[in-house]
Amino acid sequence: MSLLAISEQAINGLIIGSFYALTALGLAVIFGVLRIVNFAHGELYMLGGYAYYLAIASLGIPPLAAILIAVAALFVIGAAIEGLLIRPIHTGKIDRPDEYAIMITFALSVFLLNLANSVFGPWPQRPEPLMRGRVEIGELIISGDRLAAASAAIVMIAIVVFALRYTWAGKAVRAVSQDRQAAEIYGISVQRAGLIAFGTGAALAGLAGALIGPVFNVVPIMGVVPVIKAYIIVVLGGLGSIPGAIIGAIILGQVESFATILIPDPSRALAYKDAYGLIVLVAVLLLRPQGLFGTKDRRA
Amino acid sequence: MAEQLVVDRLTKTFGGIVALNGVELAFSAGELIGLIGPNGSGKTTLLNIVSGYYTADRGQITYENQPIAGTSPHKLARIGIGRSFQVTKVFRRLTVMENMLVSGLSDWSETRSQASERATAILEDLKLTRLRDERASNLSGGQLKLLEFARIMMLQPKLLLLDEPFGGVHPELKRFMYDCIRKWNAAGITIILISHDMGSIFELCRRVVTLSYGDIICDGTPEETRADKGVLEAYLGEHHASA
Repeated sequence: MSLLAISEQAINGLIIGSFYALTALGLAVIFGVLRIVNFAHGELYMLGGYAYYLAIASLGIPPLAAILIAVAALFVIGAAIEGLLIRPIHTGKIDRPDEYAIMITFALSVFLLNLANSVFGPWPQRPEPLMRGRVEIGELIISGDRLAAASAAIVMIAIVVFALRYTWAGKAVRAVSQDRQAAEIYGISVQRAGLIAFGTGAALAGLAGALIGPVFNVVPIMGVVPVIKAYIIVVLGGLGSIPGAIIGAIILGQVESFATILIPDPSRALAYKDAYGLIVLVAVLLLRPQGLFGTKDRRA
Repeated sequence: MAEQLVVDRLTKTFGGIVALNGVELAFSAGELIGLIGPNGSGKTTLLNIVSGYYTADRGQITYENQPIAGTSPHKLARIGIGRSFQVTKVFRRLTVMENMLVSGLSDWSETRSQASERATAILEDLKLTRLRDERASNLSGGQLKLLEFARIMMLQPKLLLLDEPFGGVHPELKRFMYDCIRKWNAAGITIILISHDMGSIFELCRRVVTLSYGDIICDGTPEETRADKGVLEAYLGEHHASA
């Protein structure tokens, strides 16, 4: 294999990995703070795609502003979901909180999927991309829409990681993810942290959907496969671990990219693409059941 | 002295077990009270209700003349009810200083430099200055206990609920913790102390409340508590107490 082919695959893997990281990071933040697996994460991703599409197609807003609108809209939707549906899990009002969390997010997933089908129809929509054309770096050619979307994803991941690490709101969110009970005696509002976490998780999923929309079309079922990969990534990286989610996403992106060209028959290689992540997941869990960055008694 | 905390006919059950049975207590500002009783007597349940972690089935709690039943723990922490747990509660993946500032800054009432200044002074008082940039996970058990004390003081409490603060602590460190408790109490902080270490309770507290099966069986000075037959029976059993 030539150096050019290796570079192409590495960059493709990085681009796809950055989208995976965005989705998985949202899932990890929600799991870390609220201790729930959000089964409606794929549908929040899909809503981000539609929010971006509507902002451009109906309101005539330029793509960059449409991205910001999609992120803001999904933050508000996420915060509303947390306040209305998720909060009772932690207020002692639910007899079986774990089962409730599974059922409510699963029901929300089905509801949003069918709502999108009813409102927008099952037809694909292709919104305007952030950037048209292609970028040439020596002999390497990268399509502009993918490069712009991946760059935006990387910038957003950097902002979220910075905010979690260096702002006091971020430290409070990390504190709640480490120990909810301790956070309360420190005077931290765990409800506010939960609201911020679910809003941020939804906004990240929405951003991923908005960035991917112009590349692979916006359809009601667009979130189904990416969210399965996000689940693989957060388990691979260690449940609730932020670095684990990012590194796991990069690994999955690279594995999918390189494994595809290692199989001689291209159509077969592509058909197997979604299985590679599962193979890596099984291999990692056999050696390290807590995931790459997880600890055996991980709380966050 | 004004009554700072009033517990009125507090009842809490878990299934068929009565953890607190119409408990009535009043604590004045500036008191240092020991709360003792055998395992399962309801001490920690009482602290959990006062600090907002449990809701009482019946009864009222008044703190500084305001009813506080049903108030969330973080709001109670913000109005001056500080609390420690039997198992030390600090954020092990944050540094010592971050642990302090998470407490100080989460309500945005002071600037970062004001909070840092206060945190630095508290760490110095508790001899933790050299560990300020150390991750809490690298601290020893005793240092974690001191960090817990430090982060409680960051909230400027007026009422302190300490649940088994001396468990597994070296005698020398225990002496230092006694000094801290006395100093804070002398500064006007009301302290309710739960401990199975009777030596600590009798040395520190001027009033001792004894609970048994959810009832108050004795409320008096250390001397009165030591001499109380009901207390002896609760700890040793009726047969041994009368022997």
